[in-house]
Amino acid sequence: MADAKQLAGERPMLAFTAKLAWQKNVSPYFFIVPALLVYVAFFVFPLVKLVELSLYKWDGILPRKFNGLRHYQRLLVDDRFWEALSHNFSWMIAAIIIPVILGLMLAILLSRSSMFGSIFFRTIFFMPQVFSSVTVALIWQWIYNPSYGAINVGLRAIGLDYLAQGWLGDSDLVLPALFIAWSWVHYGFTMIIFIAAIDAVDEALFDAAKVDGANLMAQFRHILLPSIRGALTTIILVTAISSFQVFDMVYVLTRGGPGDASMVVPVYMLESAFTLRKVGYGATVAIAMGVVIVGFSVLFLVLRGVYKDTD
Amino acid sequence: MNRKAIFKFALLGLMSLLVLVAPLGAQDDVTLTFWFEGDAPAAVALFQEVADEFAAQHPGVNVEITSFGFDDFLRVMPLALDGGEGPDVAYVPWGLQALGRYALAGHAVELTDLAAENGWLDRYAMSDIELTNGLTPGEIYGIPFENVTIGVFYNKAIFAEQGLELPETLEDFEAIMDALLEAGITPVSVGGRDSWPLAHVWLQLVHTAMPIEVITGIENNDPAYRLDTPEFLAATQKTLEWAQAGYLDPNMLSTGFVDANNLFINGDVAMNIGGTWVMNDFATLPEFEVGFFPTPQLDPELPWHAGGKNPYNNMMINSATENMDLAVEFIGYMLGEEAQTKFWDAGNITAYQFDEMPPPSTPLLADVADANSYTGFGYNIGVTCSALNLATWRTLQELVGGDITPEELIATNQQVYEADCLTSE
Amino acid sequence: MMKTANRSRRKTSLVQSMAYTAVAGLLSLIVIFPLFWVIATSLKDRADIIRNPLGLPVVYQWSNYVDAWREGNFGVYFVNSILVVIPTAAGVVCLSLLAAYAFAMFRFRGKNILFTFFLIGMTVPLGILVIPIFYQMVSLKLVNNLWALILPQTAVGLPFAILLLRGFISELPKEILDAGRIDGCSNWGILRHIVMPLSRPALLSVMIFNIVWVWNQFLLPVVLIQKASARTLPQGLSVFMGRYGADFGLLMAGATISFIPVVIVYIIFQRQFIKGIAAGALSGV
Repeated sequence: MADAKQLAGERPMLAFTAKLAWQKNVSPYFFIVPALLVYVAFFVFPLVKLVELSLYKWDGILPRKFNGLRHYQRLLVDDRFWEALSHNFSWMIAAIIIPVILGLMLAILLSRSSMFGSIFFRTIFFMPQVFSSVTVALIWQWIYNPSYGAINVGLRAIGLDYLAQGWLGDSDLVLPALFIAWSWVHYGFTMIIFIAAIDAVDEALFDAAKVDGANLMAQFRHILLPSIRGALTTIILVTAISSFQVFDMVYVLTRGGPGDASMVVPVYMLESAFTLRKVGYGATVAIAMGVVIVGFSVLFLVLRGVYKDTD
Repeated sequence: MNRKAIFKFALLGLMSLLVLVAPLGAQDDVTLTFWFEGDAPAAVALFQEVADEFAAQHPGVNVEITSFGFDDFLRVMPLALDGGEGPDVAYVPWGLQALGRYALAGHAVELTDLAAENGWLDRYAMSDIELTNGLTPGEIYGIPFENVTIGVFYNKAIFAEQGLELPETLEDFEAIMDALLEAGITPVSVGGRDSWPLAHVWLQLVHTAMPIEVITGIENNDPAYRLDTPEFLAATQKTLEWAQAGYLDPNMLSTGFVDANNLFINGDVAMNIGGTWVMNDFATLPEFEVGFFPTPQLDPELPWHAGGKNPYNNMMINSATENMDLAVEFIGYMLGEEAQTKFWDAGNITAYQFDEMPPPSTPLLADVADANSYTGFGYNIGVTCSALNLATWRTLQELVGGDITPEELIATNQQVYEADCLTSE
Repeated sequence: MMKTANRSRRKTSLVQSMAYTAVAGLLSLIVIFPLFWVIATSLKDRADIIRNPLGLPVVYQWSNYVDAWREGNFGVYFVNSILVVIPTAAGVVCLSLLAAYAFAMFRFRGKNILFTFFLIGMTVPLGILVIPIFYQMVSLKLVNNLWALILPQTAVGLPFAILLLRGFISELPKEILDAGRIDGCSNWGILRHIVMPLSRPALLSVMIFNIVWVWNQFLLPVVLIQKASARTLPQGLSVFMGRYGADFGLLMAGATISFIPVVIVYIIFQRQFIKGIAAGALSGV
């Protein structure tokens, strides 16, 4: 709209100054600002907004009312919230044991044993990682179907009818059943990291051990395990953090049921904010969950020594 | 992949950004948007057909329809309305969970005068409208055009094989289920994993155990009525009794709504207690004939008001619409005889008062229409208070799972009713 | 990776190798069988599914795919998914490369604070931000617009990408970078001519990682996209699950359509994908 000629005339000048700027050391802030802008606008801003919402009583439609910290007080005495939180913690503890051990065993099998098609098997074992939660839920909904599902049909086929049951309908079995479906996706992640760590171990160490006559168990204990300790720490913490956030699987398959037997905090948050339209209370639950996760993440970052080379 | 490839990729990204920025093609035509709650395939196809027919009669008009599942609708609609977005016209659930709330917030156009002018009140009962709007009597914000009922769908082939007669009383009904059990057939499939189908079983018993005033009182969040009365206890105990006797599928808590329907459609169970909105699947998919009867009364002294029979969703206009006249015309078309005949023929129980009722299109619809003709409205407690609804679903799962007693269930419900329903949120 | 040749020449008998392979083969059935079942079911008609739930289809019902594509609007969902995935992945790659370069190569005031500020993003799940994001998009008039999905997902994708790339760049051989500096390259020149080419594997893995993640994102579209014409694949699939839940063959055809592209991307780029993930996760150790 403005003077095109004038702009064109200024171009060499602009280019010249720009070149000068590049020649000198461009401020590092220049590189960070674009990412920072997007990050602040579409992540930090909503996060601040979330805190604001938690201070109001609001149904999402009618005018909202300031509520102070009363939602937080209510959270402290909300039994359903604490029960859900305890499920999250059990889930997390199981998550740092089962997929981690499974991943380590598979990694050793694929990386340290002389087998055929190891790359092929890596591809297969890791594949569930790339499926969407809707697809995974669809698959496990079928596997657990009491009448037509793979598990019960299989059990009946081999004469173990008495073991066939409603896996997602039993308040004692539902959490483990959901957890197995979740693990079906997540062992792939631990396996891949372990493989990378094991492959990086100096082969000479193993050769020396073999010369000394160390058996496989001894090699595992004295060479492999110490060499991958760093990877193990990382995997355990990453798994802890991601498992604590789990809700897709629970939300799609049981919505926290039967009763509250599989209720986890994120599902409870959605139920409060959307189904019950207590937007402010839902935001409060979200913040409580955020605080726990941030706590773990800080622990992770400290243990992993993220800062060691940035000072 | 080399650096060039990465640049190419970035370029591709940039181009797709441009595509997104570019307007999606200018249109001279008017597009009317219509959202509705209900996502059964047959229902979606039917709404599409009716919308297409309306568009065909109005050159230059497009109708874009979008369907939602119940939960999605309740979540998305208020967000959209509050943001000044949302459809021109919507077919929304009733009472304070949806229509009433939208109207209070000023999002629903008041239709009182329009209804009189357009003659809608000649064909639709004011009592239904007032009930579903749940607002000041005489004010109309939405008009319901179909009824739904919950009752018992049964496999006629299995009933014939076992020599079973339709039940008159609750004792008859239980005798039928005993006979089926003895023959090794699971009597009733229930989608208890989705929790609300289990609540339908309980509601059947609740609705047939107490006078209609109690149900409507609770619907209106009236503190004079309670949910921990002996009648509620009796209905709850009966639910548990049915579960323990094996009348209800022992795997119900791990069976979803769709799974339970499939069990019935595949002929693996003899009956399914459910709502008439699945009637189309039941009329067309099974290889046997399906019949319908209302659940017998728990208290035989009471007049008939079958559980859950109620007017369904309401047609409303978004007050933010820019196509007001067209929206009114669309509603008028939906409520008119032409569209309503289509709804009836497709197996819906329309609330439209025909001069002469067209014949039912399937034997199942005939059964349902027959059952409806001698039962009064039963409504559906919990419909107007989501907290009570959720609490009922949760405690029922715990009840049949053996984790709580009937006494604990009714106590919890009463507590939630007082805490979350009586006080406005 | 330091996989040496002598490992493969370790003295193990053929029998042992076959035994290990057999164990892996058996275990892989846990992944393969459900996939086989989804695809097999997608090709069956209703009667076949009931009578023959686990086997191959008796008659191949390819029309399930046609119906899923047409009735389920999968063509529309497909294009929408691609229109969201490409700008998001491109945006994350470009922005995070710039920022990671600064974090890895320079000392400056507030560096740790800024870096921590970004890392907070890795700890907060997107799910809890859905409500405020919705109201933000309302005020930007972007509800029902694919930008409503692109912008927040770019923002949320940045922290992990910056962490991964920063780790990768800071481990590049210092000699090469110093050589560039001595040759008179500016910061920008070093980034363009040295860091970028050397970081290709990491950039690629950031890209693939984001493609997979954004392709599968479910919750955000459910809230922000209400028009059928703007839905993405997972959202479309979930609508499909509710709507055609009774028609398993059609449902599974829809599921197959939605996961095949991402599986293909994964199989083609798996080396970069896996190496990048591992490098990112292990970089700080």
